[in-house]
Amino acid sequence: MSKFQPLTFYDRNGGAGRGAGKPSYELMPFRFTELDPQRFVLSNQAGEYLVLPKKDLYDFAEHRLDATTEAYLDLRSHQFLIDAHTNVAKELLAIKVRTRYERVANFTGLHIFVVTLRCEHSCPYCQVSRQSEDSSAFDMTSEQADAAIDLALRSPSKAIKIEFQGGEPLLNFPLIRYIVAETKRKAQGSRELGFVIATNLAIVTDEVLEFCREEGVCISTSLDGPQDLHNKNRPRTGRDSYQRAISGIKRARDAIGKENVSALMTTTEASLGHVKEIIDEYLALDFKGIFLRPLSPYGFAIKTKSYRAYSVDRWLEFYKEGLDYVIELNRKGIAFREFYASMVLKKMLTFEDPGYVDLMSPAGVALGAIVYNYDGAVFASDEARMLAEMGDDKFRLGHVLENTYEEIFLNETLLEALEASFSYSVPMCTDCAFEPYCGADPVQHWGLQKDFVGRKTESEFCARNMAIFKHLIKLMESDAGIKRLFTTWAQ
Amino acid sequence: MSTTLLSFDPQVYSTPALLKACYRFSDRFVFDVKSESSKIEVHVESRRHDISPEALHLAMQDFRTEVLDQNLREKVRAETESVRNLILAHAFSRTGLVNQ
Repeated sequence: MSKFQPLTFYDRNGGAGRGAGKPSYELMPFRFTELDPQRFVLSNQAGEYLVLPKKDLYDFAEHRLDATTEAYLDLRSHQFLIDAHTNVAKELLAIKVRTRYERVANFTGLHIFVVTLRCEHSCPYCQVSRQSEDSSAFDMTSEQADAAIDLALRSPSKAIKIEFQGGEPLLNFPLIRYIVAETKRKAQGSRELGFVIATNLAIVTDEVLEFCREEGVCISTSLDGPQDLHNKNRPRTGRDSYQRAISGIKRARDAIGKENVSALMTTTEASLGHVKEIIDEYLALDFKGIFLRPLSPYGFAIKTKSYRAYSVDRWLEFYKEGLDYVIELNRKGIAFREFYASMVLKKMLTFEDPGYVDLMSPAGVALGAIVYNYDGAVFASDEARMLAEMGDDKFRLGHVLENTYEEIFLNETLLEALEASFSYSVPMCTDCAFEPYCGADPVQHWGLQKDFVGRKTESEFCARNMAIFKHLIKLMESDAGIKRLFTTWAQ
Repeated sequence: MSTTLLSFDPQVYSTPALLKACYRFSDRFVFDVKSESSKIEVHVESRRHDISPEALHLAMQDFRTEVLDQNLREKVRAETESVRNLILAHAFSRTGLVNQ
């Protein structure tokens, strides 16, 4: 450990760490970004970060930093420098870098099957542009499903997760049943298979829940907050979306176990100012955390102007207030976490990558998730099919019945988007200390700026994530208790 | 007035560092960079025509600080480039992700 050195190390006349003249150390690759007017955040090649006063950073980079300072010892123990006392820094960094990028070799593990675009809700913020309930032209066929299963099983990933989305996927429940059975039959036990139905639970039946229990299928549902807010956000005939969701959550938990039922919220303009009530709703239902999600710029969210109803700054205010409240709950002994922060913290405080598609570089498109749409079209991500429903099929990679695995995954647009948006080498990102925690998101940048990379100075994605990264680090730097709490979230 | 002219010593500041600083401010200003042997001139024009002289002055102070930071980044990048490549090569040497 760096902080336990022999006395000779601190000998200013003869210690190897500092000679009579200029301190002798070699810089290792690092990036830095302003945290506030007094401090920089530095990150090394493996994504470990340190916070330093600006003067210390300049002294360090100019080889003037005193080897007996705490800053020097921190920099050395995190491989920002090497000196006569360290000889394994390069190897250590290489191992950490390799661990961080390990998932790239596993390729696509998440396969999204849009079994129908039909839905019985009419949410104004719907990002997938759902269709009315009775138009079966928007259902996937079993022939398309067969071909999609074959493609999914070509993935080299040992763990394959199949997520059923819609519209409301339970409106085409027979196909879900078919896909689960066929995937298991074709995989013949060679893969770790996981299945999730993303459903609003409004039409869930005992038959569906029994099937989920027997086949090990998890449920992910939508819960936007208390009754008034949820029903306002998620209108349906009968104005009972909330009642059905709550009842569905309870029945689903009874059938498949509490740990197999999760919920997601979406922030609308009506949610702003109510973050504590939203979190309280999740607490009352005994969920262990919440994912405070902004709207994405797709589908009806654009058409109905829901997306532009609040600015990045207003959403950040909402997010920070929510995070403060979650921290306060933990201080009172209530274990609860915010999941977006948890994913970012995993990247900041460990060498694992949680595999969240938006925060991946190389981009998560096709590498993190792939989408088989209701009509057999294959898209590079969930956002890519949302964009296509708006008339822009830039990220359509092919069709399950017309293209081979190679044609789909070696699609020129995909490769170009992956290469162009690799944040290690794009303007501003390449110098950003937060690059190891961030992602490329070429679909969102294409959607908003018609460019895979996007001008980062005008990027809402960049503004939102930079603000969150800085906020999390400031919280950890200001309070050792929060640092301890965040460390547990990162595990 | 919404325009200003800044001058930098090419012995001290690199052109890439200046261009990166310009890029970072490109949502608020339009830049024109001219490089000569004795100086690099940066012509700055605000995208907002109603910017006050005080606000422009403060923004230019921020810009000069950004140039300094970018210049330091260039220095660190140049000094660490070989070891950065070495670490990446070592990290991926046995993954099958790169050609041996």
